[in-house]
Amino acid sequence: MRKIAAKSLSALLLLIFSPIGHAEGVLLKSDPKNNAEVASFDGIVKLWFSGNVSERSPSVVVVDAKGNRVDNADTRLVLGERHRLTATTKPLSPGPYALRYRVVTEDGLIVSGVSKFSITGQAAGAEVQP
Amino acid sequence: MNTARAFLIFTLLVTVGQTVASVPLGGNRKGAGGSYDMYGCMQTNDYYVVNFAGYQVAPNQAKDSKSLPEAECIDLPATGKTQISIDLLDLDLRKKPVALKILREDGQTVAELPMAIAKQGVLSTMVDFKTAGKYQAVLMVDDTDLHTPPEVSALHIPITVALVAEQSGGQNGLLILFSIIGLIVAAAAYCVPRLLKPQSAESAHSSKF
Repeated sequence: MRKIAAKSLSALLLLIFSPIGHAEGVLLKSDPKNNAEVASFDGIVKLWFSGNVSERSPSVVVVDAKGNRVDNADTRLVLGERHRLTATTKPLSPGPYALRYRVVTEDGLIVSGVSKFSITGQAAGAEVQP
Repeated sequence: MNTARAFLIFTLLVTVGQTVASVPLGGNRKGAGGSYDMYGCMQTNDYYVVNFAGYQVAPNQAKDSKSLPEAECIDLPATGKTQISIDLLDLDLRKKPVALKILREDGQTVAELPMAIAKQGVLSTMVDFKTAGKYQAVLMVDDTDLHTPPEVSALHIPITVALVAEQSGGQNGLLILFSIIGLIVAAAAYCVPRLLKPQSAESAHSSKF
């Protein structure tokens, strides 16, 4: 009886965890966080992904409340244990902002979405790297 | 009994594995340049990503399920009626109004889908490409999150119609070049030993006497 229970439990655990092993690209977290109110912004948007992210067509676009682009068009994807997608912005004045992100997995699946944040503190931005 | 249980567990695992397996969106689709890869005919700008497909049916082609037209990428092989299909790969776009225009090189609109929400994530329109040349598909999004003017974030997809021959001409040029090089190498391989042979024969002859 115990053997059966142990086998059933093993099978159940395998069933639960086997999809995680095959997990496609997933947004783990972002900085600034979605809907965050940021008093001090260093001018760098960072997003972390898990899964089989590819180097193909990564993108981050940051816009202000009027839809004007405020990022420096310098999206950078660093593949690793937790893939990091970054982009710098021009100095941001207080107000609401939205960012659209995208990564493509090795299987051709798209992980994209929109995240919003507000700047409450003084203007901040990153210097454009040469 | 144990074997049956093991088989059942294995079957369950395989089933679940297949359920979560990713479906390549561009699978079995011709990509840019005519090659096939996992991504199909993916078209992107900084804002959006779509998969483009053009379906051309030859006038004399039978309309049965066995002869479905192949999805072409942005280099359409012929003029004529073409079903243009655009898959919106950004899931949030399925909740936002989108519009599609097919423009000729001179900017004239040849087909247009007005701004509307595509719940299924597919924009499809029939276009009659009457002349060969360069065209453009323009996808505009009324992005209620970004508030960016649609014309600013528009995704422009360049299309060529019946210009593939020019590209294959380029490929033919390469083929001709490699053929010439091959002929030169073959000729050298044939001639060089024969040019050297009399010399060695002569030397052999002179050494004999």
